[in-house]
Order: sequence, then structure tokens, then C-alpha cells
Amino acid sequence: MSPLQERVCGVLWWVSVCFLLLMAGIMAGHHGWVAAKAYDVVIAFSSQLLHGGDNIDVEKRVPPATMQLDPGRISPGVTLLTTLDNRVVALDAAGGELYRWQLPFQAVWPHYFPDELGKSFVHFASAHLLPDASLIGVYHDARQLQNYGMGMVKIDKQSAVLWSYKGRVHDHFDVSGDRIYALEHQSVSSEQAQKLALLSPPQLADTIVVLSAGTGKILDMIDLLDSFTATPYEHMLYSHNSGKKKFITATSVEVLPSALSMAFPQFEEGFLLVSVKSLNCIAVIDPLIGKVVWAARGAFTKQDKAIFGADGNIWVYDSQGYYAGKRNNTLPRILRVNPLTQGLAGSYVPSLPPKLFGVDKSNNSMDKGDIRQLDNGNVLIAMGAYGTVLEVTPAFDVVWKHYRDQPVFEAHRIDGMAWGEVYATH
Amino acid sequence: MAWRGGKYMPRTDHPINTKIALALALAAFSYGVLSVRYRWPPYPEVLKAIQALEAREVKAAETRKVMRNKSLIKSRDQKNIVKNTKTKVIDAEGVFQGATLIAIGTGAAMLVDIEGQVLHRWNLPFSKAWGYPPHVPDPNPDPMVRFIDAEVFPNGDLLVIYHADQDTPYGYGMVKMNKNSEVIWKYARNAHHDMHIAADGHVYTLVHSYQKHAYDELGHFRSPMLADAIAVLSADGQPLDEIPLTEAFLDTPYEPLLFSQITELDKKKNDYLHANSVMRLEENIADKFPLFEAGQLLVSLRNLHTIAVIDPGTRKVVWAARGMWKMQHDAQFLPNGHILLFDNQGFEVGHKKPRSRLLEIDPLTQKVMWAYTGSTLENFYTQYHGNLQRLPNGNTLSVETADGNKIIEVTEAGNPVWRFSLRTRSEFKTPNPINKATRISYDFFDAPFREQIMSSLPAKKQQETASDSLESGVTEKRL
Repeated sequence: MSPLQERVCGVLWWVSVCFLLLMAGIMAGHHGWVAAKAYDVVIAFSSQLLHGGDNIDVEKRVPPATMQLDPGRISPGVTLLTTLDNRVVALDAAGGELYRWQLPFQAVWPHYFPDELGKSFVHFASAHLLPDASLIGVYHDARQLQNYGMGMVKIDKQSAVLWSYKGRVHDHFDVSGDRIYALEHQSVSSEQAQKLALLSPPQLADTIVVLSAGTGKILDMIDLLDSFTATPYEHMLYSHNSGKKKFITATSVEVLPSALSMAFPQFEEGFLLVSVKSLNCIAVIDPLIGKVVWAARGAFTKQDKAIFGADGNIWVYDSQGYYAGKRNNTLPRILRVNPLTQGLAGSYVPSLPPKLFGVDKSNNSMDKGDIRQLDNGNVLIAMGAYGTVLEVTPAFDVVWKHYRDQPVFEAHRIDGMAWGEVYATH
Repeated sequence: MAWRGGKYMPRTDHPINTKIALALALAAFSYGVLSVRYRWPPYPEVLKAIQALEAREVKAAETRKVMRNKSLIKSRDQKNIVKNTKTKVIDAEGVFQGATLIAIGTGAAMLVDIEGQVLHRWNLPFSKAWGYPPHVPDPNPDPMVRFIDAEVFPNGDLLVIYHADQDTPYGYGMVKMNKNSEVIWKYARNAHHDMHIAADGHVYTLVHSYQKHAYDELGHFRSPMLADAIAVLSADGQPLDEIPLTEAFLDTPYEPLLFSQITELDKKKNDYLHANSVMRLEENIADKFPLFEAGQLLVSLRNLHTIAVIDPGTRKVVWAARGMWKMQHDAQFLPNGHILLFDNQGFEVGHKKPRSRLLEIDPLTQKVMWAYTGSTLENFYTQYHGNLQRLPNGNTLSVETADGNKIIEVTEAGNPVWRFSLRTRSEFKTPNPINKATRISYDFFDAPFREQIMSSLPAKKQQETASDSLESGVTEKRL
């Protein structure tokens, strides 16, 4: 054999060996033959190189930033945000902080948590600014996957408590006139368990509690379990997909305002739109009779906020409906549901930075998100675990973006003139 | 080593440095491991080969298991199953009178009267219908192939769809036979699950194909995938049209449904939609459906937990709903403007044994207008398959195929009035011995066939049956 032939044979031999080893590597990976620890080390190392790791250092990952992408189409005003660090902040269009309310949970209920660790996980999850500059806020315990609602307070501009309500209120609430409509964790009663064989206490079933905005006193309560029974939608209760402990867990309640009642001819002003996460359904309740008058499931899964949209559709923050192609890997999206036809009127999947909180599902901020209809027809979207707030047009063009290094649970846009009056005179 | 001077000598001029070679080898192995995790080439192609080999092995193993078990083969024979069924008329006044067409056993169907007496049989094993099926290169043996759907004609002709156990694609085609089980025509495509014979005689069915091309918009739909389509045939079995179902969703407001959580069940088969029923909206009831138009097609997509309506003209989805049902089958338009479907696994809580339910919903409001969930005395469950029929008197006939192995007729109040079931299920280690049931009024059949099937009844029974027919009137099987 000539030297050239030997060289060629040698190269071919090594190529063949490499190919066989490549196939061996594929077989080892496919069948899980590679020692688990060695594999994990390789994956963690490559993940660190490619994606900076799954467990994200919050401070370095997403620096706070605001982008005014289309100033001419941004809805003017001040943006109010609730974040994980127990603050409600008001920002201008450039993201500059104008004002801040801050009231630690233990300042309201000092004896609830005996240790500092417990206190550090309770934060404002939702808030509402009233015309008189007072703020209503709901606390969440970030560690809890159920029964995480910790109470509601009304505070003045200096964050001093005006009143407090210790019920287990949670998630998104709404204010209409002098009434607050909020969700409260309740345990299934023995009477309810006797009526419905499918119940097996102890279980949670949310209630809508109506409070006075002035005093915080209870004005009314609507039991969500009872609201479905003896209606054509009772079978939604039997189509239960969540864990058995949280039988009915809702995540938002919104009142149909008079300004939008014409857009929803099948409903009446004052009807309540509820997002019932544990049933993967949205429902509209007549508060006078306490019964569901309309309900629907759809493409959404474990949805968070649902709102009446100015376009006559119901907009839904779909937390886990968008299957990104990997097991347990879903992305949030916004869906528009036509309540007249059950049809989908559109969808929007925003491109997002990696999550602030990765695969650790012990934190209940994973699925949180907010949608708000703005006066100019745009929609404000807060993507909780991504620390991102977007303002989009009805055609889903992004006109304003804000990133924070904390999860953002709610975002409101306050009219600039009204804010100016509040800020200047109080 | 190298051959020099007539003998092997140690090499001193290696083409590749040893360290480099070892590094390359390690890199090759590591790349192989990582390519599995991140789906780098050539892993996707290797995976397809592995899956194909695994599928062949599973099919071969199951076939061996069945064919070596003589008692199992015997238990799948229609005659043996029929001997061990029992029919109970619970409420003779409440039952909708007529003959029941049942697809039972493998490659067989029969017509029985209300008391379970066999009026007529059809028996056409797959191998007898197809000598060398062009659409199924390696068919399963006959004990593993059965009628999944059957529709009878007034003259006794029978149109059937064959399904195979443990094969993919499992739809083995469609055959029309006469009352003597002789082939009239054959449709050599992977027709599966369901068919609908329209008023104009056209046949609508579902077909599978292995699709190699992927969709840019659907990165999670991996190819090759089991793609579903609606096939339209003429009355004599000539293909007229084919509407791919995945494409029907693209570029419509319902495209987001394709990204909704797909059931884990058939991901290995890449069977993302799993269509299992099709029905045309006929002109005589179209005005009851303000959302739809005559000619549009209702399909049930099990793996998306979705029912959808497709316009055959635009070939696009015009409406779709993902409701409280799960793994549903047999969605149908009803003459009252509602949709009826078999909800296999949506009824989830509160019972020690799982339960299925029949749901009648208003598509406009998703209100449940009627539901049947069985009872403590009458368990009602089938994990897969299942079909149902709304009868003219308001009763509903349903088949629990996979788990229940029974046919039951219930009133609007949910009271059972008729039951056809296997005596002891444990004797029959066969999946789905009862596949489809349809109640048909005797008036539906033309005179010669009616006389033939009635001649098998005792004289007294013939008289009773004749008078019942006059009272009940003509039944349209699909209203």
C-alpha cells in the first residue's frame, strides 16, 4: 500500500470510528444509558454556555428598561405597577418613578408571621387607585400554591392604613362606584358537600365578596360553587381539571361597565366576568340572582385575567395554553373570545425575555398576568413571571414596553390629568 | 501497524495525532449525547428510524401474541360473541322500535331485532375483501381487523370501514358490500373511524396519510406525522375531494387551537389531531344553526379536545370549540340546532369509577341542554371510542366500546329502556368487540330486504313488528 493509500485508509478509519461513536452517543442519550450525573453535568454546562443557565440571577438578567416604540400611539398617562417587592409604583412614559406606595404586610397584621422569613414572601399582588388618591391593595403569599390570599388594605398617599380586611382575598379585583368586587378563598361547607356528591372536603371554593370602598365592610357575597349549580353550565363543575384541593379557584373578577354594555348585548351593565382558573373556564354572573348566565371553555388553559374588551370580545390572559413543543413548556398568550359565537377573534403571543423565575413551580407567580383596556383602544398587558409590561394596539402592535427585574402582577394606566390632580393636590 | 518490507511494522507517521484523534472521538460521542437533548442533526433522522423500527417490533409482537392464542382468536369471532350476548328490553313501551345494526367481532356486522334475535349477518374479513391491499403493504391478520363503522342501505347493502389493532395507520379502508357480503366497490385509502352518507349519496369519511413535510408555523408538529383529512366520495366510491385538516386551521382565527396542550397519548405516533368523526350539515336542518351553512362539515378532533366546523368551499375552519369535553367522539348535528357528542373523559370528579357522559350542547352558548352520565346502578364509561345516535322519539342510543362492551338506549330523563351487552367480559380478552350500533326503523328498508329479514322472525313477531313500523314512521339514520 502506498503512503497515500495508507493515509486515506487511516483517515477513513478514524472517520468511521467517530461516526460509530456519534451513533453510540445518540443511542446512549436516547435510551438514557449515560450515567445520570455525567449527563446532567454536561447539560448544565452547555445550558450555562448557551442560555446562561436555567436558574436566573434576577439582578443581572433583566435590567429595568422602558421603550417607547411608537409614542404617537401610546395611551397617555401614568402606569401603576404592583411588583414582588411589596411596592406599588407609578411610572411616567419613560419609566421614571413618579411615586411609590409601600406597606409591608406585617405593618398591617404584625402578629401574623412570627418569623422574618414568612414576612418576606408577602407582597402586593393587585391594587386600585381611587380618585381621592387612596389605594386599595391585596396581599399574596408568594410561597403558597393555594390559600395564598392574605388580605386587603386601603391606604392613603402616605401609605397609612385607612381600613383593612383580613379575609383571604386574592388576585385581580375590580372597583365599581363605591363597591369593591374581590375573590376570596373559602372552604367548601358541609352543606355544599351534601348537595354535590363530587365534593370531598376539605376543599377550597372561591367566593366573590363585595366590600364597601369607603369602609371595607362586607356588603354581599356570591358563592361561585352555587352560582354554577342549577344552571345549564353546572356540568362545568364536573369537568374539573385542577388539583382536588382547589375545587374552584378564580383569578379575576371584572364588572361590565356602562361604557361597554352596548358592546355586549347578551349581558347587562353590572354583570360580573370571572376567570375560573381551576375549571379552565370564563363565566359571566348576574350578581342580582347570583347565577352564571354564560360560561365557556376554549383554547386557554389555567388562564389568569379576563376582561370585557371594547371590541365586544372577551380578552383572556392564557397562562398555559400555548404549547411550545416541549413537555411542560408553555408560553403565555392573549386570546380574544367572541362570546356570541364561542369563536376565537384573534390571538397574540408576545416575544418575551426568559422568565425571571425559571422552572421552580413553588412560586405562584408563574401564571400571573394582567390585561387592561385603555381609553384609546389599546391594551396594557403585564406578564407576571417575565417582569414585562406591554402596551399593544388592537392589531397587537407593541407601542410601549417596560421591563423590570421583578415579576409584575398588575399594570394600570392612569389618566395623566387625573393623576396630576391627585398628585398635585394631596 | 503498517505493512512494510513483507511484514507489519509499527507506524511512525500516523496521519492523525493520537491526542487529536481521542479528542475527536470524545467530541463525537458528546455531540451524539447532546444532539438528543437539543435535537441537532442527525438525531431527528435517526429518531425516525428508531421509531419506525420500534413500531414494527410492537406490531409484530402483538400480532404474534394474538395469533398464538387460539382461544383469543375464537373469542373474536362474531358468532361466538353473539352467543354470549344478552338483550334486555327494560321498557317495551319506551323503546324506539326497529332493528339495530351492530358492528361486532372482526370483519362482521349484524342486524338484530329489539329482543336480540339476529335478522341478518354480513361477514367479510379484510383479507377476503382485499387480496393485496395497495394502501396497506403489511396488513394485520383478520382476527386483528374489524369494522369500526357500518352503514346499511335500504336494499341491504353495507358500507364499512375497517380498523386494525396495533397498526399505524390503523384505518384499513372502506368497502361496500351487498347483503350477501359480496364486494361492490372498495376505497383503497386509510379511511378510519367514521363516515357520513349525505342526502345526495356522497360519502364523507376521514383518511390518514403519513405526511413528511413539516409546517413552518407549527414547530411542535414533528414530521413524519399522521395527517388527517376529510375525503369525499361519490355514491359509487370514486374520490371527489380531500380536505386536509391541519391546513384547515392555518391562517384562521382558530389557529391558536393547534398550539393548545395536545394530549400526551399519541405523541409518539405524531398523531396531533386524531379526527374521529365527520358529519355534513344537511339542508333540511341548516336553518337551525345560525352559525353555520348547509354543506359545512362538523369534525371531532380528539387530541385537541375540540370540535370544529369546516367549510368545504374555502377548506377552512369557520368555527371551533374546546369545551368541557375531553377525548370526545362522534360529534353530530341535531335537528334542533344542538350538537351531540360522546364525552369520554371529561366527566372527571367525584366518582370511584371513571365515567363518560353524553352531552348535547348549544353551540352558540355552550349551554348543556342535555347530559347522560350513567348512574350508580348503570355505570357508563368508555375510555376510547364510543358512539351515539339520537332517536326520533327523543331517546339516545349509545355504545360503550372500549370498556363497557354494551349498547344502551336511554330516555330523555336518563332512564335506560334497552340494553345489549356481553354476558361475561372476562371471557373475551378482545378489545372493542362491539364497535358501532345504529337503530333503524323497519320502514327504512325496501320491501325485498325487509321481507327477507322479517322472515326470520316468528309469525306473531312479524305482525307486531309490521304494526310498530307503521306507527314509528320512517327513520333517517342521520337526521
